[in-house]
Amino acid sequence: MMISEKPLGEESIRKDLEGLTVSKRLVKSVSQKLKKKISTKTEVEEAEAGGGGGGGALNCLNISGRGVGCKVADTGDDLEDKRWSSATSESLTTICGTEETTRLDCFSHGVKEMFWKKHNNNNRKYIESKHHNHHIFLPDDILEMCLMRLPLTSLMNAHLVCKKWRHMATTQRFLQMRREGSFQSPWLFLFASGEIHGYDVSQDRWHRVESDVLKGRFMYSVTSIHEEVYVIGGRSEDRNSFKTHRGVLVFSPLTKSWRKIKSMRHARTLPVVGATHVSSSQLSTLQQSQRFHRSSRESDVYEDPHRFSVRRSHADQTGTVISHRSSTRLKLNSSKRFVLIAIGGCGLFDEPLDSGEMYDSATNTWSEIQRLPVDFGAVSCGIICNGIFYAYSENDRLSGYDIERGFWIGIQTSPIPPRVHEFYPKLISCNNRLFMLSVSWCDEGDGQIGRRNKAVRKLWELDLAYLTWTEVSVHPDAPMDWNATYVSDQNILMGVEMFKIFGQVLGFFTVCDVSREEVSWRHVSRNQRSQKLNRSCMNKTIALLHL
Amino acid sequence: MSKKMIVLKSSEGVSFVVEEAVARQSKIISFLVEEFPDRELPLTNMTSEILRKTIEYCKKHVVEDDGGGDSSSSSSGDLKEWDVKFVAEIDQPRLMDLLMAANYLDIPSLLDVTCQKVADTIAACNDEKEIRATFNIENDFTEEEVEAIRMENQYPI
Repeated sequence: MMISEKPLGEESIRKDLEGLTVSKRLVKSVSQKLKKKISTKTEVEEAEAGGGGGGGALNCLNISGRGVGCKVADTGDDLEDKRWSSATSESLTTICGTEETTRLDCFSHGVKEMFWKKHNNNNRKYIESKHHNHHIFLPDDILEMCLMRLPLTSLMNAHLVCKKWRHMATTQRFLQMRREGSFQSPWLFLFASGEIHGYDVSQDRWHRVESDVLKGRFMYSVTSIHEEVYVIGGRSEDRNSFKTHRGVLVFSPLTKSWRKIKSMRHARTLPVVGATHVSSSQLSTLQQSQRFHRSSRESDVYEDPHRFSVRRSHADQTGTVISHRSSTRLKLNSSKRFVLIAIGGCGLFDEPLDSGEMYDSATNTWSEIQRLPVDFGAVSCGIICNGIFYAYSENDRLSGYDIERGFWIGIQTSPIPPRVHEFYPKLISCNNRLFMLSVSWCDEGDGQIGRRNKAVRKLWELDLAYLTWTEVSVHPDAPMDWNATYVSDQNILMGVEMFKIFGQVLGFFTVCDVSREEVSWRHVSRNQRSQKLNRSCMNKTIALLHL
Repeated sequence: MSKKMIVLKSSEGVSFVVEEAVARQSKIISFLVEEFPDRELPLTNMTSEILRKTIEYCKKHVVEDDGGGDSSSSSSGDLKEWDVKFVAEIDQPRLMDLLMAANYLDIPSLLDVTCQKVADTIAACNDEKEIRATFNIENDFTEEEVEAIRMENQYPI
């Protein structure tokens, strides 16, 4: 490595003095221009800030913030040679004094301190102690950039630091930028009957959510979209009799509040649910298609031996209106419209349902969707991927509901992943890829000769163009939980497995990254509180949010 | 190999000779170099120490940039690791200076890592009191106000 520092002798410095003064003048002219720009900018910002707590300090610091970095660059962009050189020749003032005052105008006192320091760098120790007696001197826009990168819990602490911080970190603009900059981190919410636990994935910490809203309710399903969790249907015990719910509760972890949306048309326990973002331009299409399919119950598309419809819709879907989770986050601000889908489950008298319904956030209404094909069997799991709601039945049939067009498409796949019927298969979608987790007996090919009774949980991927399942990886744990649940976040799959053993409930949390060539699972964190979840831990369900 | 060198001068008047490609990671220097190809560039609000650090960062990143044309995840992973180590070694006051320098010189990646480091420092604090102590911020809330915010904050805990 070459040594970067090359202190030159005094002579050469003197030689360079002329060049130096010129350049200093340049700096000065730049900062003068900045000042002009800034002064206009300040007014705008003052208007934006709109009064409130730390208004004064905010503005004065804003000036310095914009002045230092961004605006210099901006000036650079729109400056032309002519203007540049004329400014240079104009300003023939002496260097030190004027320059410093110019700067002092546009720097916060922290930066002043930096200047002070530069002239007194012998006293570094003193300076350091001085640092400790002073406010953090970051200009507002930089402080904002730092606060934006905070995980949720720390951001909440930051709100309590001082008025300025609180003001800065609660504006809509700030929250939006945090969202768009992908500084939010995933949170996993585990619902087990009346209890809710939040797991902060990046901090590896569990939090218990204190809430009585779900007390007594079980066998509900959850899904999440737009920083909220939707708790759909379920059952509760009501004086020796059971009540099956149509209602949908919405939990907003950020405000820790609950609200209701329109109830479903049918009471359902354990419906298979999904949520996806739709663009507003689809409004008419959606309604039309719903009308269309309600009148034509015949599922003529279902029998589609050549799978043309699937292929066509798959091709159509790529890069069109209905967006997947990852892109959802980016588009969040253009439109907040979404749909919820709930299909199957059991009705009032515990009868299996083959109906389905869809909620449109724009109209706050549920409308029925086409019934599941007759021979489909009870739905055991489902997931939305590329605008298609894929449902998998206990009879090992796969079907896709085209949300935009409003009909079911039967999907013949090969080979069907083998599975042990006591364990529920789970569909999961990651970055527009469709996966399934299913438990099967170990075969000899797995190197477990003579141990055919060993069960393994495998991850399969469905090739959406050729409709073939491929084994991706084997889960390291012996499957103990017949209702292990999974969620995905971009390329990450996360699973929670909970089971009772010796009267104790054990919970395991595993993740795998499907973008890697070698997909392997690793254990992340054991929920220390899972011991308390001794009641109906089999009913647990999880949702993932970015907060 | 005669790479073009440029001279940057710190506030103490110490000159640093760096390859143009290294310095050009700063958008502002990049611009100034084009405008004034044969001049020393005085960076009057930057101490030698901070300037040296900044150059160290730029050097590391320029090497990685043209060293691996198809640099895959491994080298970018290494670079990330290096970045983490780089900011980890800096104490807080100097980190602030470096952050300001990154902002002033307009080096987005350095700005990003330094901001992240500040955020990590804040995140490492257990409560708001610790944050105040770390950054020497005066509490201008009354106790009631703090309680009110705490009530409305309500992250799931």
